[in-house]
Amino acid sequence: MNLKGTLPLLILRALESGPKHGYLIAAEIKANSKGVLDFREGALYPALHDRENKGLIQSYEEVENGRTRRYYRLTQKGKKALAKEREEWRALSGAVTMFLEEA
Amino acid sequence: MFDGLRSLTWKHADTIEQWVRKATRGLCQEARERIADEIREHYTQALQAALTAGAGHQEAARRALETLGSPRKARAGFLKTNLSVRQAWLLNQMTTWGGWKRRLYLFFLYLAGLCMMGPGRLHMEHHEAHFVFIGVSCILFLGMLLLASGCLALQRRGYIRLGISIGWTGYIVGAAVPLMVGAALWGREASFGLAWLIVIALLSAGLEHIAFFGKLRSKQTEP
Repeated sequence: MNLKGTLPLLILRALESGPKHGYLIAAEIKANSKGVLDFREGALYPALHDRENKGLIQSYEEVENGRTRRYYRLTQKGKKALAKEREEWRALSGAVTMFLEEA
Repeated sequence: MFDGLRSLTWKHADTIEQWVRKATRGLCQEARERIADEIREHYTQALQAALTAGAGHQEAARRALETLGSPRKARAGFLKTNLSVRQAWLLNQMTTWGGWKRRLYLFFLYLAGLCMMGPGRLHMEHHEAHFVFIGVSCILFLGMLLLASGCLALQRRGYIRLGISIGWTGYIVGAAVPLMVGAALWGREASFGLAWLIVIALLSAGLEHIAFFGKLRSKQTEP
């Protein structure tokens, strides 16, 4: 299932537990949703760059086993945005669920 | 070639390289390099995961590439979040001309050009319209330089595209409107002024090679 527009929120959530590189972020989203939330991983990087441009996440390079990897971490602004977007999502999904069950 | 792909045949590596090339076409050098490194690293890890899961090399490479999806769609996303070659050039020019010394230099060149255009006969005719025209043009040009400063501040706060768009619109409007008005007012004689302005523009383009301006530029582009 590819829920358009949710990837930016999922990225922030994936980074809540600590810095990660792109592959790990994609793997965590897929694993934690038991494969329900699926997306083309090429789309992950533009979304990461967009969040970085907005100052919600920060990137840095780290050498691991002789290979350079770019890690991303949440900024303070990103933590606030995650809390706000999480609340909005809960309100939205709660309203949709309520409506579907009533109908 | 990057480490993770050393064990693969050239054909697989060529395929991911093709993906990267398609996805980063038209982006500026810095963005191209960063994205290429990230995608290659992502691909390498996806490949290793598929190999660990028991897939053969061919199958693992196919799966790893498939998870990336369409390079054209990825490119559309990258163009929204990274600077294109043209945008990077425009930004570089704005930064280059962002210092006050350079701006003053540009302003005096412009003023001189206007005086030549509106014609160098000011002393003979003393026509009020000439003074008004040159005064208004100078105000417009200075306003444009101030606007460009504001746009550089916007760019520093992360609104890069907005900064480039407004800044360059300001430059074009600020410079083009007086030239067009001048040409309409003084007709044929304006062509001498225009020719002179072209010479100025050509000379200005060569400023990069003059040590004094080169030093100014390197200072301004330091992070």
